[in-house]
Amino acid sequence: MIVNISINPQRVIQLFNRFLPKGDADQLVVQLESAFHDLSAHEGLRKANLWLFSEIIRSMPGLFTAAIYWRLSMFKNDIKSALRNVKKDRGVSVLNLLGLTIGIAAVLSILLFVQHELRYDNHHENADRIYRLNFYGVLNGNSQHTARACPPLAQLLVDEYPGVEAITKMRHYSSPVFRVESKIFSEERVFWVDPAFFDVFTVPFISGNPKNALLQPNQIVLTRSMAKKYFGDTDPVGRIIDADGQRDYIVSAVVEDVPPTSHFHFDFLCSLTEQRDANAPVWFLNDFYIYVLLDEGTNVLEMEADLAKTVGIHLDKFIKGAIGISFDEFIQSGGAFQYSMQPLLDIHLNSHLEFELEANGNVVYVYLFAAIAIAILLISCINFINLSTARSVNRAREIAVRKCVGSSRGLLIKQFLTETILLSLVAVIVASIIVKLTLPLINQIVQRDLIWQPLSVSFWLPGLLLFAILLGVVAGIYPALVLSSFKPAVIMQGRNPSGGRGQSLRRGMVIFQFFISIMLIIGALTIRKQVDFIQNSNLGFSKEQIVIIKRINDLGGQAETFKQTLLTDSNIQNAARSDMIMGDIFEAFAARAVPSEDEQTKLIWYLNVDEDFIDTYEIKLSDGRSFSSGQGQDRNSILINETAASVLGYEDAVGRHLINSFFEDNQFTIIGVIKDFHFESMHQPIRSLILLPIQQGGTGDFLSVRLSTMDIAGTLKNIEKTWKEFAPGHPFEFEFFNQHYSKIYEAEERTAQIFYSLSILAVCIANLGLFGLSTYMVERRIKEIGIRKTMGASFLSILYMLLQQFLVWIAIASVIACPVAYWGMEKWLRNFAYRCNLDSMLFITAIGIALIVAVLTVLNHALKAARSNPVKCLRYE
Amino acid sequence: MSQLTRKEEQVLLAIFHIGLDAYLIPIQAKIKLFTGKNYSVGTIYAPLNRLHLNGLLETYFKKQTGPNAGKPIKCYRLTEKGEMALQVLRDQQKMMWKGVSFS
Repeated sequence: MIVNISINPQRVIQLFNRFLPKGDADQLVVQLESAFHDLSAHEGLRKANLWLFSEIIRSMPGLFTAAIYWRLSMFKNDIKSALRNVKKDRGVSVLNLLGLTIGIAAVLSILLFVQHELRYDNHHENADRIYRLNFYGVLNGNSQHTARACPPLAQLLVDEYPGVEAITKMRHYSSPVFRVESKIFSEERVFWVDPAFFDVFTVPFISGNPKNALLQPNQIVLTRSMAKKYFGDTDPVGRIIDADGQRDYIVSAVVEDVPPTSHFHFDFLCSLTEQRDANAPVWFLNDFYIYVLLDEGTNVLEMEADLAKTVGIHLDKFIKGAIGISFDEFIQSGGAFQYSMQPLLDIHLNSHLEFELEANGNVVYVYLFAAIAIAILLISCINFINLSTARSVNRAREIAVRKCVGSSRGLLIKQFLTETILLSLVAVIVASIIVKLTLPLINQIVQRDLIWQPLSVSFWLPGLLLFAILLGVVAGIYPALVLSSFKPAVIMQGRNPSGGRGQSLRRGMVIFQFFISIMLIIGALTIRKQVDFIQNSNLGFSKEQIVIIKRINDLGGQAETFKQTLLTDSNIQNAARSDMIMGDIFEAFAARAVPSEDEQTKLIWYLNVDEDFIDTYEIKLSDGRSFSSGQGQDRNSILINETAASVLGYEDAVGRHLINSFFEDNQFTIIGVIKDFHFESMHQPIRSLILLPIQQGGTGDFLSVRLSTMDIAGTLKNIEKTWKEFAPGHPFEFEFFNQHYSKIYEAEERTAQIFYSLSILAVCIANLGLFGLSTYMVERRIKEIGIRKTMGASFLSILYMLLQQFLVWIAIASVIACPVAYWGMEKWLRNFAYRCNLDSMLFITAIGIALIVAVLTVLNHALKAARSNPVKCLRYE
Repeated sequence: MSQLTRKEEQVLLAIFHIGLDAYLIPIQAKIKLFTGKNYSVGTIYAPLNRLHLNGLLETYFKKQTGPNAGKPIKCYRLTEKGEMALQVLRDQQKMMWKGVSFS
């Protein structure tokens, strides 16, 4: 072994300098050198080299600990001076911290929301290989895009595509009443699925076996909380649940509750095996939610394209049967009948089809909120920077003294950064607590079950620490650079060290803050306006004072009698049965007018109602008559809305006929035309609708009751009493129509709320900054004001002079914010077929709000300064 | 005053025994002589420094001869406080060891 490294003392010094104070490193080298020379003189150079080398290597750990010791003692000093500074300027530090804390809290909660939104359906083991089959059909200009597909498609996929590993059909159509001993509940979240459900989705079993949980037609699977609800702590497996008094289900397994981040939630899974049409080869029966699990590496695009062709081949004879043309001709005529494969992970954020299982989120809002989070964070950082640099005047002397005693610029920068990092750490901790405390409120606003557990989720804690440090550095680096560059000589002469520097930057940052605030205010106002517009615009029917009684099919043949009994109550003005109510998603069928010129088949949405429906909802007839009372008279009569009349090409529709294209013997006579009303959300134009009479013997599911009294509670009690007489043992369920209908705009309502909260936050933070900043700006001009006053300036002119500056900033911010906000909100409003106008009032209001709040913020200091006695502020000159 | 650590005690005693011209290298050699432990200079540096800071040691510079002339070496000697600290330590140990015997 030859160690022939001649050691360069400069190198060693450099190395030691990293760890030790400068003098000590030199000294250490000197000592090592002298020993080295002794050794090489006595024992030879090689040996001396070896010794030195090993000495250096072995010294490293000791030096390292010494270095840390030094760093820590320096750090301790930094922290001490940081705390002193905070204490000295308590008011501003609190402002600074408050703004930062609120900003971080807002950002954390938005991040939590965004993270939650992005996590949907991730709990399935093979989430990336699961696809849902969506249907897209166009029939003579009418289109339908739904989240559902038909049973023969599932069969086709299994038969002809080897890439399909598993496929499951799922249906969700009624809400049965379950009974176990004395416990009776009406359940909404019941799904009928086939056994492959557990192959496609990851569902953890608590008891029971996924292999045979749903093989038998009468089996049912419960979630953990449902097992608790019905059976308490006893083992539910093997127990019997009675459904609607008509059949018994045997509990075959218990599974974990569905996590909140799932695009659908079931409480019960029933077996689909028994249902007749689950395997019916009917291509138009797009009633099933179909999910497939594909093999790894399957090319989905290719498969989709191939599927379109195969479906065409299979569909040919059905199309011929229904509309008399071949599939190719159908496609050429502008028609479409195709299935697409949507990745499971895309559903929550990107899917807005008809018949979605639950209201989905929207990726646009996720991006928007993320952008706002960043904007708010920027605003708070800007505050921090602004206030810190503004304070520089007060700290100039400290810096000068530090420099005089030998502090280097690097050390000063380090000191300031320590200060800001310390503050941001405190802010992050306080913000975490705030988020924890306000989470229930936040959850209510965003309608999610967000959980804030920074200590138990692995990445939050280091993430937060890193975030705090980063924030501290970002917010502190500019002030640190500016402050550390001061020249001690200049400061000691009493001159202002920063000169005019930083003014334009500060101005720019304040303008930016107001730019964001004003934009957010405009956004919030516009969304509120649109929501109000939707809610107050004429729907074409009256939605007030209506109570919906659900599940009247429980009454069987007595439904009509029940209705008549209710009508004897003078507080009840009217009542009508129907199978759905406005705000639900209606179904459509293909129909064509006979005789008509083009014999074209159109998609028409329909609703089954009884003869009192249009009176109860005060829907106006524009032509013809309504259904007459008396059963069976109007069996094949229908009412159509005006849109339907024009879609079908009728000018005078009454007395004409309509047939269902797929069941030719299904012929209807139009007896009346009703005025258009909004049976769907205002996102789309009113579509064609027909009202069918509830078929004989059918009861409908809902009874809409129009009350003519203010005593709603009392009347409801009476209705319940009547219900109990008619259907003892059946739960009485009702909902106010208003509430039901407003659910279609839940997403908009929620967005409006979030926007409101965020814009208020942004304005608050921006003004906190402005408040702090104005303190300094007025303080700096106090002598100027004194001189002006002695020269005869009036109180008002000084007030104006002080405010003017801020007003100009806001004016500039508004000029930039308005067009940007206009562009953004125009884009958002395009989602609606019926929308409000973006008028100038809205913008003026937004600017006005920003202006007033800003003036109020600054006014305090301005007034104080304008009123001050010039003698006092000029005394020392 | 806080208790001396073992290493500090060794360093102080080594300096005491060396007397004149006690700096890192001789201290290192002395400790090795006493205890058989071959500490690196870096390891000794830390307690040495701490003792100096706490006022148990004081420094002076010794001029060098030979090839390194002109570069003075920083040497250490005990202060009164340092001697006191050793005294205290010895008294404590005496007290604690009193009557202790392992046979």
